[in-house]
Amino acid sequence: MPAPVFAILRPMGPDSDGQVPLVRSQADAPNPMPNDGELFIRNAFNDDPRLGCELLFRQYFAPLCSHVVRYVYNRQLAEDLVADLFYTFYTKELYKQVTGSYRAYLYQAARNRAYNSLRWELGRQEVLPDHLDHPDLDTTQPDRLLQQDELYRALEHAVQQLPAQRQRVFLLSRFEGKSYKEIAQEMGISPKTVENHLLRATSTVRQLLRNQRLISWSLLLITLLF
Amino acid sequence: MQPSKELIFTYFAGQATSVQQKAIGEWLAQSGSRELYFQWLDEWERSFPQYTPDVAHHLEGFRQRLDSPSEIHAPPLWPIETTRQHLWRPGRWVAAASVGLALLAGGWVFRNALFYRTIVTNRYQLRSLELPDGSTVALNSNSNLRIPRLGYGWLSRNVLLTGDAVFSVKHLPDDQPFVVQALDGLAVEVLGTEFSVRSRTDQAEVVLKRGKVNLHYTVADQPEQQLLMKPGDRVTLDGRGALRRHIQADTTQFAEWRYRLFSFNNTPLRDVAHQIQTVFGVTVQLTDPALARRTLTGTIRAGSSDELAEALAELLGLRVSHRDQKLVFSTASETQLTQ
Repeated sequence: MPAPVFAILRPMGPDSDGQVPLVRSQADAPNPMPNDGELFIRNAFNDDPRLGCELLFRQYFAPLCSHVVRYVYNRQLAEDLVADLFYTFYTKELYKQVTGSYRAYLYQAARNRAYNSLRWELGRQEVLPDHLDHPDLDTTQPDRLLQQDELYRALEHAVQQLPAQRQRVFLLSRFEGKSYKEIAQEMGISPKTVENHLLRATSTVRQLLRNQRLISWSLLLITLLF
Repeated sequence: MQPSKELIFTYFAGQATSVQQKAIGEWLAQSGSRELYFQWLDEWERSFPQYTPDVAHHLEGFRQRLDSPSEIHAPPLWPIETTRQHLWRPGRWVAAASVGLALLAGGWVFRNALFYRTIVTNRYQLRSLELPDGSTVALNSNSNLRIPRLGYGWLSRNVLLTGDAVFSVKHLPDDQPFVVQALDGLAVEVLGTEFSVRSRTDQAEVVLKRGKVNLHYTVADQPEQQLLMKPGDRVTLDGRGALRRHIQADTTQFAEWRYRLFSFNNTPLRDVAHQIQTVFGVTVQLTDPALARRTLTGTIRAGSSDELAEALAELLGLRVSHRDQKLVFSTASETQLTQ
């Protein structure tokens, strides 16, 4: 984490003399600065933001897609979402506002995009496009992380619960981006059956999400006691 | 306590027990855990990728996209300029003029509406508005505020409120008073300040945050009485006409209904119901006394009482039904019995 946070957390000792922030941040650097292997990229951003962005892209595009796809279950969509994230990151110069590691920022922003995309898919048009990438997300409550973890696991569970053939159709279509025709050929069933399977699979997953109500409310952490 | 990397990986894979999940939740609440969390998430994603996208191909696309200037100046989805031009089309003016005429004619018929502007919110709405003198009002759901159209600001500043509102009153050079007429014969005379008024059929409440207000009230046909409030004072008037003054040192929770954020920490459902009641102005009824003792922890942002009620019902496995302005919570089994 960056210096300012530490400056707030740590009570000012008698030895502090007013002009500390900068000095302090350097003194604390090994501690709050995460071991993120991003020093090189950080320097690149200072010289040439575009190069920095490309380096980040190279390093994080694949794992970010892999993470986003857990939410959206669609490779194409995942790749578009992540590519778009990098694009906004560069054009809106959001890298200037990132206080923690780029990694934490990118993962959080990618998750938010995935989350909103799911929400949008469910027909709740409450997308918040501009806030999505805002590094203020650093201050997001920890509950939100848990909630988002919960969501992708719930989705995975729902997909696992599908009958074997339907699951296969669903994954081939959404994950591999194959057409009805290709899937029908591959599995030796009619395209009509493929369509049917897909409709049912989608509605099962949707139903699960509605039931979980993870999408519509920012319900963060709930424990119930009697 | 910091969980081990193995535990976090187990958790990412969805195999952690609920106790472990709780521990991780507590860890995440500590500062500095976030970076480590994402570091491990990244490692986990790299160790167990769902698939491997073609990075080189996408990087190429990314570069091209950055190079093409047309996209940087892409037109917005709804071009603002052209809609502005639309307003100037003569057809619009004719339409606007006829609507205006119709409104005038309507105004002649409904004179009350002509002399008073009434702002009404339904149970989903929150509104904030600026009055002609620069004072601002935040109006809660199920509320209604009547403002005189003529003479407001130079003859008098009298408004009539039913429901909840927060006023931030601007002081005028001629010391003109601002008066909120509430029900129950209560009037709040303001001398430049910020305060909230609740004026529902069964109770009235005034909370003063800054400045000074003077309450005028009548109880049981007695002559009008006055009470001067100081910041932090909360005055309630119940259905029987009893006036009470409470001193509230902490005004941070002042008119929290404006933010629609509900935080519960082992809060019994009875108190949750009470919060819904104060925030949305609807009555909440719990059919089973055992229900009132169940507790809830977490934070919910809910735009309307319905939304919140629905969320609670689902979480606690309850049934919720609406009867007029009333929300009724009952246990699922109980409803089965009555059916």
